[in-house]
Amino acid sequence: MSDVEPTIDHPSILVDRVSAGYRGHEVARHLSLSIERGSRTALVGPNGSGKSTILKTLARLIKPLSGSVYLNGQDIGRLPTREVARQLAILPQVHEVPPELTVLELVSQGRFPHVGALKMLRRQDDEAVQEAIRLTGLEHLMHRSVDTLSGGEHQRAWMALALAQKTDLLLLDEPTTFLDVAHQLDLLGLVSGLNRDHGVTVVIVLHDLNHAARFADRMIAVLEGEVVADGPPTEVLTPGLLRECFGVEAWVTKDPETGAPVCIPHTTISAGNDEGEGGVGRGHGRPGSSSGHPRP
Amino acid sequence: MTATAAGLTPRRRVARSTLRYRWWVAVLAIALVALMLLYVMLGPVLFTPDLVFKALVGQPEEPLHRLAVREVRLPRVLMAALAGAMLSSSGAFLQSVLRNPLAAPATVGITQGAVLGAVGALVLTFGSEGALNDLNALVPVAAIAGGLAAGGLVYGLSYRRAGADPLRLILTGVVVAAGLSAATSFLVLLSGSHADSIIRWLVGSLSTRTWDHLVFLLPVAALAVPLVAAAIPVGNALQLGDATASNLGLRTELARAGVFATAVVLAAGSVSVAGGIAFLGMMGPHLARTLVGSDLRRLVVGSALVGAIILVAADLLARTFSLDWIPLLNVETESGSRVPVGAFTALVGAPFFIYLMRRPLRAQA
Repeated sequence: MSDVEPTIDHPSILVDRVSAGYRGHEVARHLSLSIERGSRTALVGPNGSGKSTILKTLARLIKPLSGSVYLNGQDIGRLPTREVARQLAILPQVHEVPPELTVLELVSQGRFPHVGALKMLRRQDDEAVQEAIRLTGLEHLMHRSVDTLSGGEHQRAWMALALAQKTDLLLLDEPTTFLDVAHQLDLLGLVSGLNRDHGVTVVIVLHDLNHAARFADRMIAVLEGEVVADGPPTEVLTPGLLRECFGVEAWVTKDPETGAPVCIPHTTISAGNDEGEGGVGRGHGRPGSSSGHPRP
Repeated sequence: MTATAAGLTPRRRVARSTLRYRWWVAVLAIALVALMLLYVMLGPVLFTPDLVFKALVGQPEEPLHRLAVREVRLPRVLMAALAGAMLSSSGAFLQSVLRNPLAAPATVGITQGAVLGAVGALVLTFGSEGALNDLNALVPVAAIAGGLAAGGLVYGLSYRRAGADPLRLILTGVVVAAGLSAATSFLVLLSGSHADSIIRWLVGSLSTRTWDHLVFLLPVAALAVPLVAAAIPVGNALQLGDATASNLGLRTELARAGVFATAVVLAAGSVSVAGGIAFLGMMGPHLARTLVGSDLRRLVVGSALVGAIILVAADLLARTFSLDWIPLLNVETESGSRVPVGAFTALVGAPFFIYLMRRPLRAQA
């Protein structure tokens, strides 16, 4: 993937030898990958593995330390940021919302990249905003202040903001974290529907491996900023990977309905002592020697 | 996705929040006009509304009426409304873009910079003819320059590599404000016998303001109009956090600098005619937010109206209330026992500030 001369049919995102991170702290090094149009990709990895940093780099929220990210064949660092905002939307992990801002007012902001600042002075309740509110099931909460919503409603309101941007590419950073299991499934179902019915390309960071395996057609496992496995869930979600990447022993079985792999982690693998970044032994831990959870 | 029949019915009904907004704008606007009329009616000579009207259209029953209404009370009340609106909407922008409820022109040093400019110009020109007659054109110009310089200084000092972080902006502002106040105190000490006219700038006063002062303010207000129009949508996106603003296609640092500059122009203009009015820049947007919400398209309008109302009301009090009313207090001041309007806003503002800080902080998920 050294030659990045644009071709006719560009992938949605092309990452070319990117080193990502913050000044003085490189999180990922020489990362190259390509996200195909219309695909559903899940980024998984333990805490601190760099998956969020990678996602933010894809969305140009963080500048790569070196290398380039290409969005639909164009260098994202050179595109005007408003043009990028028309092509991709990212749902960040942490949100800030002023008090007394209604759901409708929040979601309307999603039209900003399309209509521009001056037209935002007018009311924005056009189709895209209404559709985003409908898809997230927020019609009855449209005029409520966002800061009075429950955790799940809150997350859906922010999801609606990203949807109102009407982009072909959606990047989601742990969107299910604060949700109960029903709302988690609803949100993943919503994203699946967008992918299936509207061809939206989705890259999602997920903590729940089984959700990832069920939702995604491609899983990328990241450890210490490096891709350690990349492929369909059946190839990625294996006992070996769970051991290497997450430091757990697990049983892996099959979802009786979809055939997607399902894992049941049962024991953590101690790294010997607790020193060192990440704290997990990369594959050479001693199974069964660890803490807390007795083997059933 | 699963569109029920109910979900497809078109909603052409006007939203409740929109009705609420229109209602409050109407109420506030009527209150402001009524208050301004009352302001012109009350005074050493009481006028009935029809006398005010006759004086305004130039057919006064006595020439004195025309003078009192058109040359004294009318410019002063217009200035109070304009200065109050500018200061309060400046606070609305600062609170949104710095994402901090305590942000205000006076907490980030803009007010103090403008006051230092005004006081500096007064002290410099003390020797010269007509320096103290309040028609000294240098004073408002220096106030605006001082406010802009202070805003630039705060922004510049907060700037690190990636940009000016909102929290650092506020903390830097507090420090710069303290430094500028100290410099002003120093000037007051130097000025000796003229302290009285200087204190009117420190506390904020509208006494002896005429059409000439309004003429100074108008170009600033005119410059502010396009700035405000651009800063409203940009500030709306920016108040959702840098990541979201960037996601929406804003260059966040440029956007923040632009909205901050708008707030600086508004506040500096206000201080250049009214002095360092206390608390209004923080109180106005808070009151407005409880009425019309946080969308800047509404909040700026609401804040401007609330700010205008508060300053007109406070100045009506200031004009009417005399220290002579308090027995045992034998004051003889140059300004005729009148208390500067800023003292009244401070009197209301200080408890409000305490109330604000005692309120439970909202969780920001």
